[in-house]
Amino acid sequence: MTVRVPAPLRELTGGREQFQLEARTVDEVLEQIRRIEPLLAGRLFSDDGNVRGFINVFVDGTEIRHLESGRRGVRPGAVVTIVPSVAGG
Amino acid sequence: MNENEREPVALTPEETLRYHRQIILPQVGPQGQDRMKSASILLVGAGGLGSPAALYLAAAGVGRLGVVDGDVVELSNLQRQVLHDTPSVGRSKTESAHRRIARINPDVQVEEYPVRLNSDNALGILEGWDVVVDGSDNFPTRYLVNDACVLLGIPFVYGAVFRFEGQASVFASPGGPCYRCLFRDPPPPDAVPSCAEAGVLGVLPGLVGTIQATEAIKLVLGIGDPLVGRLLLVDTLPMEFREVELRRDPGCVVCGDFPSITSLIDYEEFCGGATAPLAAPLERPQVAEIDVEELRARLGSGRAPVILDVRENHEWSISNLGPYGARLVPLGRLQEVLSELDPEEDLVIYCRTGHRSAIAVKQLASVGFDRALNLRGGINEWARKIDPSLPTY
Ligand SMILES: [Zn+2]
Repeated sequence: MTVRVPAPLRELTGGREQFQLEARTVDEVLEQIRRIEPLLAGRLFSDDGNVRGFINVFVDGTEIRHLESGRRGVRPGAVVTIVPSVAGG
Repeated sequence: MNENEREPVALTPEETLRYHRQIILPQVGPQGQDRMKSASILLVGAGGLGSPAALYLAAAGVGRLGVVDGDVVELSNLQRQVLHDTPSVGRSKTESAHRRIARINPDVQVEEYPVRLNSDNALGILEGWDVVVDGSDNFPTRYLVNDACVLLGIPFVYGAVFRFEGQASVFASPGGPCYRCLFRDPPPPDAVPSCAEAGVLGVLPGLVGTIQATEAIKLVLGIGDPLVGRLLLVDTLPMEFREVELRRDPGCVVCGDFPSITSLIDYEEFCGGATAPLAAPLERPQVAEIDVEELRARLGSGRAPVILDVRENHEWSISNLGPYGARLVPLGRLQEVLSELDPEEDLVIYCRTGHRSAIAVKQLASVGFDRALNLRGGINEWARKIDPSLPTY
């Protein structure tokens, strides 16, 4: 599945706009992000492993905090969207 | 017969002519147009987002438009802030907005608020408006607008832009989520790049601001499906529009079931003093550093390090350490030149203020460059302390 890296966070991926990963659950998605893009992961997750309050991670349009533990399966080809807070106006 | 046509409405013949193209829309009709005429919309920020929103809302015949902005028009605004024009440079943005709106549609009543919104004035300014359009350019104002709108029960149309990407939604509408439900915490203040530094495609706020105007009109008319509970993501390079689902957070501190914020707080403090326009919340990685005095001493000592500048081309043309052998390698291309660098050699990396270079040093350290140092304060610090002939920016 494809993870799109939003512009404000691309400094952390050496300019990469997107990357691929293989995962069957949300937890695996997060694990793969940590492995493939450790700097990006450092921005996304706080020390306790939770997504920080100024960033959101959506899988197929649903924020992962809203996915019940029993429903954390991820379909092949799911779209992972990272939404950072931006203030530009 | 359309139900909108049943009641007599107070449109003049001239208004009927001016708004004919939208009056003939069944979803609008003369009654919808009359509703527009009695509606009031407040624009927070008359910048990139507020500009197109103001133009379209004025043209559409919104009866009363408020404009809050404490800035004056600057030349560098005109690339995207289409509400203002070259002769307006140096004037207050609210005055410039007022003049332009009056020329587009003299029937629109304009209220100018030439101030920066703060906790003391926000409730007084926002109270009584039907809809607020948030086109501000900094986090403290965004949280302030959110909290004030939630407390006052006014829906607000959110929009934000960065480089080629934008976001839009409708917050604080009854039962819907608020900005804090999406972004619980503000990003850390020590963050780059700012929008002024990172840039923004001029058309992008035009696109997002026009979406905001569309949503504001839908809210006023009560038509269609507003962007409540949905965040629209616009990416102009691939030209993709995506949508993600938002939910009201029952634990939200301001709109939740047991809110802890029941009056406005100090938003500068809440955002850690992040008064500058910010995007890209990034803390600076902890890396080995060198300060500008030490670098100067090393340059004259025969132990001169190799210097890398990880900024962009145009920044190099503003100021650079080329005379000391510095080489320009924009951060995004660092990986490509690794093979040309010697991990045994002393490296000093700099950027504008030391943030991007800290990321570069961290990236280099992760592939074995243990002798890379970050120039603390960047080239701006060098210009301030060592070489005042260089401009800062
Ligand atoms: Zn909320």
